Amino acid sequence: MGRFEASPVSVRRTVHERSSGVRIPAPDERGGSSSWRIGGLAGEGIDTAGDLLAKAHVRAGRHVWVTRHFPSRIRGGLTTCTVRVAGHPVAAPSGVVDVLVALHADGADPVKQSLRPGGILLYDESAVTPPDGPTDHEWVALDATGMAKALGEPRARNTIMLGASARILGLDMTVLEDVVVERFGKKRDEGRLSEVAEKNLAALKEGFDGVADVSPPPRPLPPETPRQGDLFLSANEAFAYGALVAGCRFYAGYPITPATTIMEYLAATLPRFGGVCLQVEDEIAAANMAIGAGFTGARAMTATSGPGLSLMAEAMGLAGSTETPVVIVDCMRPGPSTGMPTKTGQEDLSFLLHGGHGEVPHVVLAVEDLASAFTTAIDAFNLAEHYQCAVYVALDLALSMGKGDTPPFDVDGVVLDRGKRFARVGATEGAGAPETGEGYARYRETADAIPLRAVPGDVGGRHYANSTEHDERGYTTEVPATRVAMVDRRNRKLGDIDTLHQGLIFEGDKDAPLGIIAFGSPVPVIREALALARPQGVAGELCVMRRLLPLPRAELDAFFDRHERVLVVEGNSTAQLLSHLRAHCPEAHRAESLLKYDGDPFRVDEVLAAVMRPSEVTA
Amino acid sequence: MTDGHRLPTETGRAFADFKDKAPNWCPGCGDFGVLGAMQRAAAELDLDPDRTVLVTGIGCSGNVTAFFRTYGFHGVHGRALPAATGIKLADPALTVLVAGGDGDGFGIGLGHLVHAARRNLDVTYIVMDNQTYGLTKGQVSPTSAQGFVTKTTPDGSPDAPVDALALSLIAGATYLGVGFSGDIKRLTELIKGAVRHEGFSLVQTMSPCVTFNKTNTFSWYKDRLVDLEAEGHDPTDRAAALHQVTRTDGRIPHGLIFRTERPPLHRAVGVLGGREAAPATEDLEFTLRSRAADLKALRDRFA
Ligand SMILES: Cc1ncc(C[n+]2csc(CCOP(=O)(O)OP(=O)(O)O)c2C)c(N)n1
Ligand code: SF4
Ligand SMILES: [Mg+2]
Repeated sequence: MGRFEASPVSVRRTVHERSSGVRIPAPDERGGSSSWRIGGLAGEGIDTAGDLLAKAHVRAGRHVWVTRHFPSRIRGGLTTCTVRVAGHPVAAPSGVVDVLVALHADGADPVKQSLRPGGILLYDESAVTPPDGPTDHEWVALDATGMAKALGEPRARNTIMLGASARILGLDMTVLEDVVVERFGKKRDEGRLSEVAEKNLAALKEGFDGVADVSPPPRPLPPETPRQGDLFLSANEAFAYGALVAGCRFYAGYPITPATTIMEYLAATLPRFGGVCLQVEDEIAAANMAIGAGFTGARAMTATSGPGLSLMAEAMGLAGSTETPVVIVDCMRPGPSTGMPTKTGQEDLSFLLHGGHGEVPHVVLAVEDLASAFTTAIDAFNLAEHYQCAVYVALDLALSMGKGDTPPFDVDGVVLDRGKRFARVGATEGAGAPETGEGYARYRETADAIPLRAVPGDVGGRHYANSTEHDERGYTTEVPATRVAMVDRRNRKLGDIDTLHQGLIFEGDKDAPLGIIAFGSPVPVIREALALARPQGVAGELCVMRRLLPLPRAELDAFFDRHERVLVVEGNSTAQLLSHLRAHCPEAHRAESLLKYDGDPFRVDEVLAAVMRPSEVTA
Repeated sequence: MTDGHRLPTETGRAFADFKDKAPNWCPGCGDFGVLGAMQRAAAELDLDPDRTVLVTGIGCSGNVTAFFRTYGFHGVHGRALPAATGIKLADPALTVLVAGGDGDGFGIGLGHLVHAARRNLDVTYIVMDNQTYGLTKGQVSPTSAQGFVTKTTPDGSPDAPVDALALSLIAGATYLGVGFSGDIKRLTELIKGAVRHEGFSLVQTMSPCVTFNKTNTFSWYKDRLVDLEAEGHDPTDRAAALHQVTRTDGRIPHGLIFRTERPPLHRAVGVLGGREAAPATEDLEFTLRSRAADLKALRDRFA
């Protein structure tokens, strides 16, 4: 079988075969959530409006997931921001909109924007002309342009629409006012509001007063269950924050969607902790710099997306050969080549699993939601230093750019594992005379195959880190026996990773016939689908893969053993995860595959359909 | 530099203290002379082998890491400067030397040269220029003359050579010298000056490949080198330096071409937060506990 043939799985189903065109999920496929979307041109404050509304929901104790959609160009295209609000944690869009706000005519197409029949379309009447005759939707006009002009703040159209939305949605205005004030700031002199904040508060009120109450509201808001200190952020921000906490002190990177926000966060914070964040000439430099920093003993990382990862391929092997800890994050977007820069996908898995030419062990982790983004950052740096290897972390655009709420991260609970360090063990165990370093060998065999790591500055730890195959001291060699010993030791290094790191998270019903395996952004969608399937009499167990390499074999085998039907869900066309499982787990051959590769994240109704409808062979 | 946890080391090192494996270069290779000058300079500067890192790329010249007794990092082809950037920024207390070939530095890695120069990365970069690809057995190199015949350019190289000195000067390098493997004394002085200099130092060294380049031999260079000191060249004069690196008389300037002062990358605003403590030696466990309040305050900005 060629690598790019579809995996010969018993059942291969893509979501695309069923849903041609836009399918609106039924209310019972949406888990009691509702969605609000604002559309306009870049620069019209679309993202700000979405963030403010979402933050107000989070403050009020509801759960949100915010997604942005924008074309791969900065000017001229339609940008939308969608806030999905629910009474339970969510980390995916629902695929349907209840209230659509249009600042520009391009955003006022109810069908393209998935506005549900009967949904409300709030529009700026200077920018949008409603259709003649009857429509399926309730069109609500507001003169946002005129109001903004009158306020002397033409850019406040978004805030005016926000105020109007608050009324339509039945939202508490005081919370919204609070987040607007926080966003636009107070004046330095004690608590007086800045002029922008004043204007935006006025804009909020204008909007609120400009529309009538909607009764009953378009969809009732989920109940408020206030929680303390919940955060509102993207998985990239959660990961970058986790990296800072983990002690990352060196970052080099090159901008690329959707990884850039990691660099932006670290650029703003690392120098305050004595760290370095540099935007450099390309991803080749970025990866080699991070490895150089790792060689000195600093915790170092870089982040990129597919095209940058391709440029880093040679450095991947360098980290392996020199046994240098480094964390490389891949915020996946669809390929090949430049692919779809502002869309999501999980196509880099095979590449990450292989990690450059040649053979050298490394770790591949995955993030599936905001909480795991933080903990995975800690795990990644710990594993990299423990095993002295590269750790790759897979995110995908849906998580990198989506924003949601999560309980505050537990900083006090963070544990650091700095691995076996020569300086820590001391010159005696390193053996030999410290000033000559004769007794120490950087790549010497040990019981657990992990060598004793010295870094420049360690007296007596002097050695030679070598990209060329080497002997235990780092000197280049082509002696067959030495080469074999080196390869064998490196291959054994990760042998006990299952005892150190929990690679799989199991959720749901162990006794159910159905088991689902996934990693990354499909996971929260599957969680919701399983919650919806349960009342309909279908239960299942979800196996979340936080570690894709080395594969947690034993636990996976047990998972296959306890489920009659196993569904593997992933965002690519060739079933890369399933192929990987099939290469290692004897029972994986009977798994079914659910694939999506149109660039959009999985939707709950798509997964639900696959969960509810048993096997139908389509490939 | 605060360097507290490290043990003090001895001083008074000699040439032999910087000898490691015996070189496996072809007998007569120019790189022997360069290695000798590096060892001499290291001894005369009394460099601490435990706090010095020699970073190299791939090539005959790149193999020098194994022959020079300090910490070493033998990275991938063309990427010695990026690796050195990470090393120097993560631990500015280290003395970082970078060495490699003309192909490594001016071909595959040329982009990094320009960026390291403009950043004024505080490393000493010694390029052993033999105007050919030695390790891969004699192909054309970016410094080969137009018309140079090799197996990959049977009709002669169609390309004009890269002028790395001029590029580096324009890009912002703060120390530029040309050395010759046949004049170890002068090369030693150039390297010593480069190591003492805080900023990006390029020492392009003519280092003949006796096996694959029968054109650019020791005597070929000897005939063309002009002693800059004897010419009365003033290395603090940028215009004069530009004149030297763009000479049209077919002669090769020999000696210190340019030197100026400019803050290096690791002292730049925003890098390392102006702090002296190095990321490499930070006690992260201590920071995590002692700065937990700062970390939580950053976290709660998302609330
Ligand atoms: C990415 C990559 N491409 C090609 C090579 C093969 N290669 C090794 S050294 C070299 C050129 C060496 O020439 P130079 O840098 O001038 O060093 P010299 O051997 O002349 O000292 C090449 C092409 C490699 N190792 N890596
Ligand atoms: S091939 Fe040329 S450059 Fe390489 S060692 Fe021999 S003489 Fe030196
Ligand atoms: Mg060469």
